[in-house]
Amino acid sequence: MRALFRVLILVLSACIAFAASAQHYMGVLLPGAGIVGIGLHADPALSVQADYTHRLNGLQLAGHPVGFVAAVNIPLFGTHGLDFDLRLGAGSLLPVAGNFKVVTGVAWSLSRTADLNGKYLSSGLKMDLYPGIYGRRWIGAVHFGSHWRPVVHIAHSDYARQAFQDRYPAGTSGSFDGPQDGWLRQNAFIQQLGLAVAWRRDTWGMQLQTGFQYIPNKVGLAFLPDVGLMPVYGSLQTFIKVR
Amino acid sequence: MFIRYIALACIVGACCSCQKSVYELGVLVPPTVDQDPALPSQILQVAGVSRKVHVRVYGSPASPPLFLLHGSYSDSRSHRNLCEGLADRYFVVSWDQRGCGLSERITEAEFTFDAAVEEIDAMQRIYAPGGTFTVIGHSWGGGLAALYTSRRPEKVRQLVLMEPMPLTGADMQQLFKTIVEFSYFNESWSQLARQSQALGPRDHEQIDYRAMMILRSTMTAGYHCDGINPPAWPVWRVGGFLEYVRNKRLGNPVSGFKYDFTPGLERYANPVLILGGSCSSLGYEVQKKYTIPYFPNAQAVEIREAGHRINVEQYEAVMAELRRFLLEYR
Repeated sequence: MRALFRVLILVLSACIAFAASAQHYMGVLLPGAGIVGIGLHADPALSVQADYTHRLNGLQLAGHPVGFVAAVNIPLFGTHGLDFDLRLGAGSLLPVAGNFKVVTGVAWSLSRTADLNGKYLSSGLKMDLYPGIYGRRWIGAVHFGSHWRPVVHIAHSDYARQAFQDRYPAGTSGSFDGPQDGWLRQNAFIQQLGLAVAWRRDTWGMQLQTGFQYIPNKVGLAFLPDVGLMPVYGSLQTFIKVR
Repeated sequence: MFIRYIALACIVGACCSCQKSVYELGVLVPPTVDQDPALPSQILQVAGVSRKVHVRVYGSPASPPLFLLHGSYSDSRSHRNLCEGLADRYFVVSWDQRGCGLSERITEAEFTFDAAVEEIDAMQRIYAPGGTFTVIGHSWGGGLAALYTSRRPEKVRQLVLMEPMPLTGADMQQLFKTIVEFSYFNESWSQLARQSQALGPRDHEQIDYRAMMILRSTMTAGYHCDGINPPAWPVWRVGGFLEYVRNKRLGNPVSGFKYDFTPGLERYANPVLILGGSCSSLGYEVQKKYTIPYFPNAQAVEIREAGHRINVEQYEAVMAELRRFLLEYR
């Protein structure tokens, strides 16, 4: 039973990693028990991220400790109130052959963002895979990321409500009197494909990551900067052993 | 480690408890005429496809017809005050151009400049069967009015352009930087980009919802007297996809703008009134320099203390100029 439980945790952990834009995956590779990271992200809006990785040496996946990660991402421009993107997850390293390894994982995300149209609280899961060459100092990996948000809470602003006014001619009425607030189901995905390069010393390291992201949609739009749809993302992250 | 299980349970629980989907009608933006039968509509056959458009008429059908053409990122709601103001002497016809506002959404193939002209022809057959009508166009609507006049000068009885867009790609290329100032660090743009963190733009509604925010964007600060707090601009729905297609047809500052709405304008001998705001990047000075030369008989008038949203900022002044110019008020 204990073995089964352990396998279950290992399988879950394998699907788990620290998502965000997957910046702190290097953290689990450092020897310490606690690793702090800080970095700049552009996905594509600019934000700063701080994260903490706690390695459990007693819990190993394929001979490598699993790291549990908490990350908070704060946008730098155009915030309305306290916007944040909180991620909680774990990650580990799966050896494949020689230096070819894969970092993999899933994180739970909770995002609060607000804009002219309203306030949003969304939640979902982010999965990341980093197959690549993991050397002693240098790491080069391909990044596959998928962020799924199945639920969002929306509180529309007066600005969004005004769009519904004055639509029906005098003396008539219709069924749609305003945008809908509350918890709403959705099937929002962001798919990422990129490259990550990292350099590490014994107690600290840096990681640069960049790539393309695509938001699947029925309209067929991948690039529409007018409304903030840009198919690129990137980040620069540093991490340091604190324990 | 229990946090993970609690988190997963929260997500599953939240999903199960959500009765509504963000993709249902009317959740984010108002439904269009094909989705909401309570809205007044007209069927137009344009580019070989029948589409419902949202039309409002003002005044007596016995009065001379006047068509009001709205601009980009807009719809007919933005000029309602003018429609009501002109209804005492004109039969004002104002509609959301195909793909915009409460009109039915269209496909990419259905929007070309030829199709935009065809759309006005289709409206003319219904609302101005006599053949001629007055046209007032704002911004993109001004460009479209000029294009229509260049193709059908015999149909345009009077022409008013309010803050028209540059009428040629070459002019647009020169003026673009004063119209749109894109900056990665712009707060409005950052908000637009971040909405993907909450709402996936999976379908038209989500893109339209997002496009509504552009109306308050500081990236087009040059349009307004107060670029940080632009004046309110009443719109039901910005057709995000239509704007994408229109911009594709017009071109872009990198590969160049390749349109020209001017060939034939030299044949239009009737007086043309061009209104420009005093503090708009498409205002009076620009119109005098770039638009006036294309018409044999045009005059530009400055509306003081007004930006691009000229009719909401200085309604009385705009109406005064329209009454001074339009034949039915003389």
